Amino acid sequence: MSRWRTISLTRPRENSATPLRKRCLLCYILERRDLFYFFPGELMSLSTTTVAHTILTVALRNLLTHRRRTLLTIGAIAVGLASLIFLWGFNEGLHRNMLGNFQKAIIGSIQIHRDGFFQHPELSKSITNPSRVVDSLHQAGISDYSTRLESFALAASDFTTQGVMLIGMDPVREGRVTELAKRIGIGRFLAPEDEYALILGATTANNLQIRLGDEVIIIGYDRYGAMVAESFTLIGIITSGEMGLDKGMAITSLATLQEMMDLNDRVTTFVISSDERNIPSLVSELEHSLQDESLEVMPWYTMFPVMKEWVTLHNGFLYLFLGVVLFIVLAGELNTMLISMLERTREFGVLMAIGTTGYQIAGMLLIEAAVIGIAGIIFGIILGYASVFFTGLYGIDLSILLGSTSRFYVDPLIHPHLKLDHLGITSGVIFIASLIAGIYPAWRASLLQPVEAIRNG
Amino acid sequence: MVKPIISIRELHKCYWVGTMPFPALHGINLDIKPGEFAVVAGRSGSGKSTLLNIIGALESVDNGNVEVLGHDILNMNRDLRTQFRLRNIGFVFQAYNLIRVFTARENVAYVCQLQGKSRKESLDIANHWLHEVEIGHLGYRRPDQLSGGQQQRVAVARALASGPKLILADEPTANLDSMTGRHLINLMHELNQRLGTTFLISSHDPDVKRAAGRLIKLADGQIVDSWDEVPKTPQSLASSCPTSHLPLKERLRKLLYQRRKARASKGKVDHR
Repeated sequence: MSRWRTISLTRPRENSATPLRKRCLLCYILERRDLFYFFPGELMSLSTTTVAHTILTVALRNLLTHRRRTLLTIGAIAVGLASLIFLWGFNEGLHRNMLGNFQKAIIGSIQIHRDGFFQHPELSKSITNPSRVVDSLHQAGISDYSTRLESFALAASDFTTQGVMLIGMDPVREGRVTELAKRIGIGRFLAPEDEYALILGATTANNLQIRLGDEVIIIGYDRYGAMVAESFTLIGIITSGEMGLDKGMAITSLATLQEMMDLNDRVTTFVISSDERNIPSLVSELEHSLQDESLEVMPWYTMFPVMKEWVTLHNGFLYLFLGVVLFIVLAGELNTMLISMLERTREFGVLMAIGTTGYQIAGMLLIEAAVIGIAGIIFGIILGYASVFFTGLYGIDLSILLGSTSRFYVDPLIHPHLKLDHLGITSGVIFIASLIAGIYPAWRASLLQPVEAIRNG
Repeated sequence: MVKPIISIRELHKCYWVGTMPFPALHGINLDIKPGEFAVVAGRSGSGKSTLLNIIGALESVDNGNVEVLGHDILNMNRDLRTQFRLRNIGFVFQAYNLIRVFTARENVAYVCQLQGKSRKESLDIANHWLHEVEIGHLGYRRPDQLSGGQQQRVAVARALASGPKLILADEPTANLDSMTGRHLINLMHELNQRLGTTFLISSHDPDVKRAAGRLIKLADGQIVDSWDEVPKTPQSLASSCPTSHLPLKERLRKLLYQRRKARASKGKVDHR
């Protein structure tokens, strides 16, 4: 016979026959021993459930008797948790905004190059068989990708010269992986029919002292190492506000650059756009499928680890803040529980004298601490989630602080977003903190001597 | 020979305040028989409460032997003592000490629930004992909605509800007016007579002493006097009579009848 069945059969008849509406829910649940089938029968005997019910009742009624104190403590926990949830949401929104902008600005989520190209970009390290990579991308279900040809070059105007990273982009596919077109402040982005058209960063254009429509000479080396030079027309200037984009970058169409460098269909870089959560799995899948091709598959955080480290550091500050809030919650609840314990010393003495064990007294206080913690967490989650939801809906405008343009890839309008793991960690830690706050008073109460407690309480 | 319910031999207890000893009990030897209605009398500081606390397994001793219901309570650990109290001893305190968040019947039912009885059964028992102490109609009131006398009756009901063989009452009438106190003592006496439960009461209230079946006088931690039967004057009988509204002759007649009845049933330990 199964354990479930054994315990169900031992349920007393008189309890099941009692009309439900006349009994409290807690009593009903605790006396329905078959609901606790995972406990051994002897542990979850009727007497155990009755005693548990009694202890629970005393604990809950004590909380209700001191409503103001209970509500204040619950409120403090709720406000602390809500502010943490909001901060996590804001932080996550900020990171998403920043990392999204960073990836969409120019580098994408994942890049594929020939081995060693990222460290030493040379045209001799171009991908000789791009169709093989395209097949792998299709196999992995990736359609948002673009191809580039990248090389160092010298840009020369009538007045001066400047070193630039010359990038050949596919004007059509590029829109699928980056939002570079949106960063063009003056002029326009590349069109498919453009030949020998050039886009420069604002700082570079300024240094070269050129305007839209002016001629720029680009001098570079083709794949054989021979010097090549071509004349380009400036059609657009990037005014992103980010130094990495505005300085040292020259963009032309992929076909133009392939022709100039005599590289036909070759490219140096595949740029892929992907959801942040899928990046690790995509990287490993592509690494696996391209392992024979001497290619490097690099996620953004491998190429620019400083961004990842900055996010980790920023989260670290929040964990520090979490620690501070936890300390406040712990101190607040410990204070409440200690006052409650000291106020009821006499009562505990009496309860012990008439047969309540120290463990039961400790359990009573722990239940009170847990109930306060759970209630605080529920209200905190509601409050915090609502604040994240509504601010996420309309965004928080930080243009007063940041100006109208983005800085460090951060847009002035932040949309807070809550990650469930942050919610879980924060709530879990606060629950544990509230239990810890109950442990000391519970331990002290359990050690009370009945006579001393009655006499001095 | 009936085995005593409480047997104390050479009991010594001393309190310490810093390095200063304060002897509380000194060489106590005492036997209490089952069904007795015994009163421990003495001035404040004579050691009455300490003696009751020791018998109630609430306090340790320095020296001596204490057996309650045949158990050596001094050699029990903390949990065993708690269980022993729960099963065998009922307490009535001077300051009532009811659980303020519970109603009267929940207060009484609490000990039954601790014993593992179902909530329904416990509340039925509580209702029974509240009727026994004549406040059955007040079962749904909380302690702060009851008078002192009513609260002490609830405390008596609570003490009886666990079905103990011994009830220890520490100055149960000290916080009550004389009339209420008298009623309470009469009630306890009547329950002692009817149920055969042993009552050991500490008090310096003359009414309580008058009602005692046995009076143990303590002074400076020692038993200085002990009567098995307290001599009663007609006045003392009248003053301890629960029917004080009746004419004196009628009251005395009723009381003498009760005492004869009590004597006839003497030796009967448990009526339940």
